[in-house]
Amino acid sequence: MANARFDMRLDKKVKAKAEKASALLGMKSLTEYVVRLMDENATQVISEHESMVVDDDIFDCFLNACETTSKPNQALLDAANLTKKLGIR
Amino acid sequence: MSWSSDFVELDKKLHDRISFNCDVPELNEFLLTRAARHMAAGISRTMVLPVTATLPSGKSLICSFYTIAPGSIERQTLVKDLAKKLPHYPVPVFLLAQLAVDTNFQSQGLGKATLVKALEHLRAINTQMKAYAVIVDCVNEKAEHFYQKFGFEFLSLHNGRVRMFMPMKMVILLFE
Repeated sequence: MANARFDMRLDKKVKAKAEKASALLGMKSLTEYVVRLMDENATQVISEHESMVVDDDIFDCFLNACETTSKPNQALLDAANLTKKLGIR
Repeated sequence: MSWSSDFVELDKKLHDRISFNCDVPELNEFLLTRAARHMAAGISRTMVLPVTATLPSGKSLICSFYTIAPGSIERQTLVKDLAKKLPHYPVPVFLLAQLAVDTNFQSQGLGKATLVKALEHLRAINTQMKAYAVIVDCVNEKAEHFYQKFGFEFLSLHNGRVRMFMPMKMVILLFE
């Protein structure tokens, strides 16, 4: 449901250019064009932020490491003890 | 000045973000301008360790903070051989997006403690929503050495920065 509002100020030239582009794409209105752009771009920005794509061999090594159980090293164990000594719960 | 015993969620009204200085401008800037907005938008959660005393403004100085967020890792190409029994893609991970200690509180082990508390927090989340690993992007070489020392392993280079990881299994063992 399109019931949220968003007003914007923009440069006249940008508006004219965008109207031309939205007409070329067969959009009914500039609003339709802007809404589609926002939706597509937001989806892309969010997925780029949340998801990391890594090379196959790196991914396989990563997963392998995650599935083998290895113990925390002494430095990390000491850090956990220190945290208690510092009075942080 | 002494620090509180608990990390609490960042609150603009209670915590003095402006005074925080960890000598890494990017991290100061994040705490000041983005942390609260990211929290409101559901992107990440920032936890701070305030000092016990309150300033005349009614706010408390921040000794250190960490920011965590959900994320995922994907393989460049999918594995076609289903017999390999690899998990579905992408696999979920936790991001330790930021971690910093104010210069006035450095060299007292607070960096270590902040890391431990961040890992403990993620371990608690993991009981509800499982992830494979904790991922960190290192802002500089000092951060690289820091994480490496505690067992983080090199994963990849991302935008010129070293990205490291620690398996959740190791984090679970740490608190057993």
